[in-house]
Amino acid sequence: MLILGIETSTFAGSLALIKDDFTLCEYNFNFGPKHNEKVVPAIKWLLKEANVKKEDLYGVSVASGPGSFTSLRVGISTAKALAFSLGIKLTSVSSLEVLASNIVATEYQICPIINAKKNEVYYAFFNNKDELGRIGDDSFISPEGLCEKIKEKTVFLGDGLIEYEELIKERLGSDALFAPSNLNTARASHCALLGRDKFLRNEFDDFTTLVPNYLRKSEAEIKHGLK
Amino acid sequence: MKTLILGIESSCDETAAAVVKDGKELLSNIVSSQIDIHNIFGGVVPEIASRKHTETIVEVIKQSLKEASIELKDIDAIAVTEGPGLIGSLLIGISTAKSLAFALDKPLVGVNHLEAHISAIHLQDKIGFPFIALIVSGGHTNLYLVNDYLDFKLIGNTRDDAAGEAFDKGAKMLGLGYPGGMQVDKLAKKGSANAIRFPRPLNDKSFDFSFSGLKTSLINFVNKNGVNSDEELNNICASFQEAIVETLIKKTLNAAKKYKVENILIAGGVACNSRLRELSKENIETKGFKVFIPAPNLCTDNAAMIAALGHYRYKNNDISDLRLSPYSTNKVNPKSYTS
Repeated sequence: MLILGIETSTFAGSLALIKDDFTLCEYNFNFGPKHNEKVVPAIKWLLKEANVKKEDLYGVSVASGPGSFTSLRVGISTAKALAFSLGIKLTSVSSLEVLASNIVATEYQICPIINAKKNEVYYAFFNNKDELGRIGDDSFISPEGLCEKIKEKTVFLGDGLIEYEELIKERLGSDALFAPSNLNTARASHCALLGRDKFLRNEFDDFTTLVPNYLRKSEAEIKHGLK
Repeated sequence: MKTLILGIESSCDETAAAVVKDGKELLSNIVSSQIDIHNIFGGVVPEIASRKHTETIVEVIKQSLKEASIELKDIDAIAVTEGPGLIGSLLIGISTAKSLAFALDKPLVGVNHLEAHISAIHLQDKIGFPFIALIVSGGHTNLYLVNDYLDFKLIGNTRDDAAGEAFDKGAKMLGLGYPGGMQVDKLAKKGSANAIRFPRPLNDKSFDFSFSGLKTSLINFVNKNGVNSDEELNNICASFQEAIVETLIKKTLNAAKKYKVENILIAGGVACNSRLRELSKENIETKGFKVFIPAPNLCTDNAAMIAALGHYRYKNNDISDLRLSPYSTNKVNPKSYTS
């Protein structure tokens, strides 16, 4: 089962090609919001380097948020058009779950955080003793509010740490553990693997209707008090 | 051999896809408008526009293929608006187009939205080159000397507000909602264009426009005199509209005289304005020029015009790279110049 993973939920981006549970090739970048320029050329490159044909893809798994609205839309638009034009399967996974997959074999709870701007972060809790388990839904909160929720040792990771690592350290002291900084960006290989689990469970998304999981309304809607 | 181009447009608040055969025959023209949503906010909200594009774009493309009775694999190239427009909105069309081009092994052709407004006419009429084109919309008021299918020379543009923007802002201040340009047109029909003498902005020899001063004089007039009856409102609309339309016509006519062309094209969303259509007949055609105006569905934002221009770019081998990036303000294509 050949799967393409697309992860564009933050400033960084990642594309990967997996065959069954084996990563063939992965392309990661973390130098600014270059998703539109990088994504399709990178997919082309991955297929060429791995010497596989796009027609052999079983499906595409895309991280659908939460995260940066604009970059999420680039990844999702690309994934939808690929599924539509190649006639392959599509599935979407949580960006926070993709990020949490970076941490394995730990006794502690895992809290991926993505900067949501306006002094808030997107977050969720997971554990991963032998396999990734979710504790609660993806949501957003102020970093201060997040710290108040935490009563046990927690491993933090994600781009939210760039701005809030100091604050978390200060509030949580020894309860806050931080992943090595190279694990702060999400990997498309994880995105593809999580997508593979969904494909194996026959969970698919519709390439016509899939949209990002924004979690938050647009500014204009918030100001207008619209639903 | 027939050539089929799929056009994709998402530069502002319309999600559109169309199929054009051989650069002149329209096989489908699907437009999904977001106007009702933006209405609530009194203007286009970029984030909401981007969200709506993401929701509808694949469906719109599917419909355009279905209506053209063709399949994706029949397409020869994919043309997409690269700018000018809202970056977040443009990115949806561009990401989709790139992905399709890559998956189908077909060329990607990025096209300029304003030049495409000009190319719309090829879907309707045979227009002789060279001609003067007035592109007039909510975001732009440009005059071009068009020498050939791909030879667009920008000779004038607005120094501040676009004509459509003046209509919409004027309407908003008169309490006519958004987008109010069409409402002004409607009320103006019942009013007198000579009731109030609004200034004709930038009444000089240049081919540039300026409408922000006119907007200010409307505001000043209303602040000073108020709007005391429906009749007065109709008169204000008619007079305000007259000032805009007269200026557009005059500059266009001057350009046609200077460049010694016989044909004049008026296109873009504001080309739907009934007074502009009327005056172009009265003030231009009577002077020996021939005026071309695309049908309303080819004047407002659409993908048929993107596919039309895309056809000529494709034939000229102007193929875009998969790294194609959007741009927000007008960029003159270096390939669009002969001199």
